[in-house]
Amino acid sequence: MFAWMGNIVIKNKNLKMRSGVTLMELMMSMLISSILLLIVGVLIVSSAKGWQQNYDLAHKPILEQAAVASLTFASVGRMSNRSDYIVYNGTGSTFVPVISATPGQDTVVSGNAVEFRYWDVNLDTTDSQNLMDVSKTGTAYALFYLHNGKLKVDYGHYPPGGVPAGGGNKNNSNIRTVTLAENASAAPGCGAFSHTMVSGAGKGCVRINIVLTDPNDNKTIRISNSVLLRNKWPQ
Amino acid sequence: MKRMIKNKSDKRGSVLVMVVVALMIMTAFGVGMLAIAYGTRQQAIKEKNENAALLAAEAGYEKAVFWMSQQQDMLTTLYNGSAGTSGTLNFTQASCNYNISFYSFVKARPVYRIISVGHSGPFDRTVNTLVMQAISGWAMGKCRIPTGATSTSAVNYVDGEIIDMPLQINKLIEGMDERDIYIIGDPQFLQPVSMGESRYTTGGADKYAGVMNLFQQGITFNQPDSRVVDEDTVQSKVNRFRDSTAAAYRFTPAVSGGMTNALPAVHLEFFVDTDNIGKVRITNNCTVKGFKQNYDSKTYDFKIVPGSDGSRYQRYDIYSYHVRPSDADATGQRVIRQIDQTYVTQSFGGVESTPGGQIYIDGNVIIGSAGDSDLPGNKNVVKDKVTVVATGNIWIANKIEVDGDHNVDGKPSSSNANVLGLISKGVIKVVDPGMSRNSPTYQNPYPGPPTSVPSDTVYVPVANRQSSSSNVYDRLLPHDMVIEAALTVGGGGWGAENVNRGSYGGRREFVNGQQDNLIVRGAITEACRGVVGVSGSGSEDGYLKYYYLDSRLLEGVLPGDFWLQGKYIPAPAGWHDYRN
Repeated sequence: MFAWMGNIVIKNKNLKMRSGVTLMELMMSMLISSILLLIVGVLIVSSAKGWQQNYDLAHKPILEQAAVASLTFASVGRMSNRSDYIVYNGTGSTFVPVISATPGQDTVVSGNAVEFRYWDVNLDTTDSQNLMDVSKTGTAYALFYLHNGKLKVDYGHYPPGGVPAGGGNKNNSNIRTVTLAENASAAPGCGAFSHTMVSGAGKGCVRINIVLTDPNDNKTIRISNSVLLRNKWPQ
Repeated sequence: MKRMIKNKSDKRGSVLVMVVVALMIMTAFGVGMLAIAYGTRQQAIKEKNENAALLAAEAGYEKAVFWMSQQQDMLTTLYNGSAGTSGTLNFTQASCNYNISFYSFVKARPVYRIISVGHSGPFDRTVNTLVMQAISGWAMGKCRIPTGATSTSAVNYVDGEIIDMPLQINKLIEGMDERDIYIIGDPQFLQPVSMGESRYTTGGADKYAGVMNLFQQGITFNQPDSRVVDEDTVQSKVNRFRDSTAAAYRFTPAVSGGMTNALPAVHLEFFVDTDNIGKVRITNNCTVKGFKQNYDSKTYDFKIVPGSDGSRYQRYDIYSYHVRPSDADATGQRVIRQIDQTYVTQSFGGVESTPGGQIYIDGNVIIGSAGDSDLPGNKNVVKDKVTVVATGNIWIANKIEVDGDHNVDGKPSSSNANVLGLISKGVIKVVDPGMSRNSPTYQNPYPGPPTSVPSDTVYVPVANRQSSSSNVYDRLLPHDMVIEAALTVGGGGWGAENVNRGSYGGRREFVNGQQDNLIVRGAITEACRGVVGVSGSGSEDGYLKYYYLDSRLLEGVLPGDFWLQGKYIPAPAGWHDYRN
């Protein structure tokens, strides 16, 4: 056994060392490399796709718009005056208050706009802004409305407010308009904005029901939120 | 062997490098995806926690206003440093801490601050709210009049009546399945109505199904009761008012001897003198001749028995006439003062309310000057701001209006700074001017005219003298009896005295047999209802009522902070919530 090994060693010792591979080896190497490259490529591509999906899920515009719309609606509503908010139905720039057809019953009424009146100044210890004046039910307004597939909000001074008493054309002077969401529409089965009325007065809980559609994939997201208006002035 | 190993190691491999590179790329993607997933999850957790924190903070706010509604007098509670002004609420995965403090006086209306901080996970949300006591136009402990020692009768709002005042009716425990507001036909409620009771019976039926369309500005249920029915609350307010009133305007009247059914009183006569200065003539130690029927069934003149928690009633001595000491001017028992001399401020923690007049009487009060009195200028007109508190009854003996501009509808205009508040631990009633003329009869054993009064006293006429009569005791009140004041009645109801009940009693009207008009422009808070008038075929008596809210009262113009609503509401611009 030892002698045989010794022969081999001797034989190799006489050969000139030459680098190179056989065709078979080359083909095998290329095959294995291709398979490995394919696997790695597939993994990389799928990883990139997954990353993009995750990123979209977390950050795509429709989600951010939904969050912004919901938060804006709720935060403005919470500081608004329950005794002076109006749900409208708007056509073009004309808005008409929505009233209950059955005032003697609790009735949900809805429209495609709502105007909150609120205070954009603080009540200080001396009431320097004269906010305790009973005729003053707010100093600012926010008119949320659907217009050409967009959810917008107009901010302005109150008075005069967003829409004349009893309805009419929307105020367009000295306002700041913010588009909260694109591709927006009222959710099916209810209006974009709704509340419950009884005996001619709203109960002060205003709901938003909007559907946003992503134009890239036609996927939709529904904004469904409500806000309780605790502030009721004068009282 | 060594050579063989060496030979093998000479082969250059690329697979390992490729695998390492691929692993690095995939690891980078993996870390990225994990980061996104983590961020997304954190965002979800944050939103959840923020919402939970906000809800917890709102719960703390609700708890705080509920606690405030249970207090007899918030200013006194805070002044005494009573426990309960702060607290903690714990929920699953959330909690909150709230604190109640005094913020400031806006005019004479105290404003409080509630700060409630909600916690959930690492996130905090704060609700920072300025609140104040709600004011109702017409608040009542019950919509019933006393008719006996323990009996009451419902007072109906009837077809054709227009009620242009916000209404608040406390929950009546008895008869839970009946409405606490009594309605016949289609009266119109033009202002919001607030009920202490539930809308539904214990069985779930809607008690209001048939009348909901009458409330044009809405109706709310399960609202906190007015604390006018709580004697301790009223006493607490009275004490604070007394302590903050200047000593010169605190009175404890005594009766003159020689008169039966004698009641001590202070007579207040408001007028605007010829120099356009608002003044009041104060006559201390007046003696009122009282009268009451001998059976409950003969009268509607009841007040609540003190200490009975509003469940028992007693007849009381109504106003017949009154006398004053004949030497009242010489002895300083009758003086004239400018109303602004009664001005004081209430202060808390170094913050002072807007100055306003305060007069405190430990006894009864007669308000109103006779049309033929010797006072100069405009009689029965209040200029400036003043509140009168009486531990006894307040009798209104003539119309009383505020000076200054009024709107077309008759209410004081918003720029009018003159206001009157009347608060009684007893009752506030419009006197029957006929009492000083009435002779005793079998049915009505009236005291008779004051032809003979105790020595050292003189008769003081009230109301207006009947122009065609030679009888000085022949007095009348105007057909339109206007009261411009905020009325708070802790011991009964607001109304008119000696309204007939069956064949007993009966007021003297301006035109005999024709009901007069009682016009209130202000606010009313009463423990129960009082009778103003009665109607029915051939038995009309007393007044038809026309009540209007003076909305200036909501702005805090009335001195003394004597509001008794149990409800606290955010002040205008008072609601703020934000992230910490």
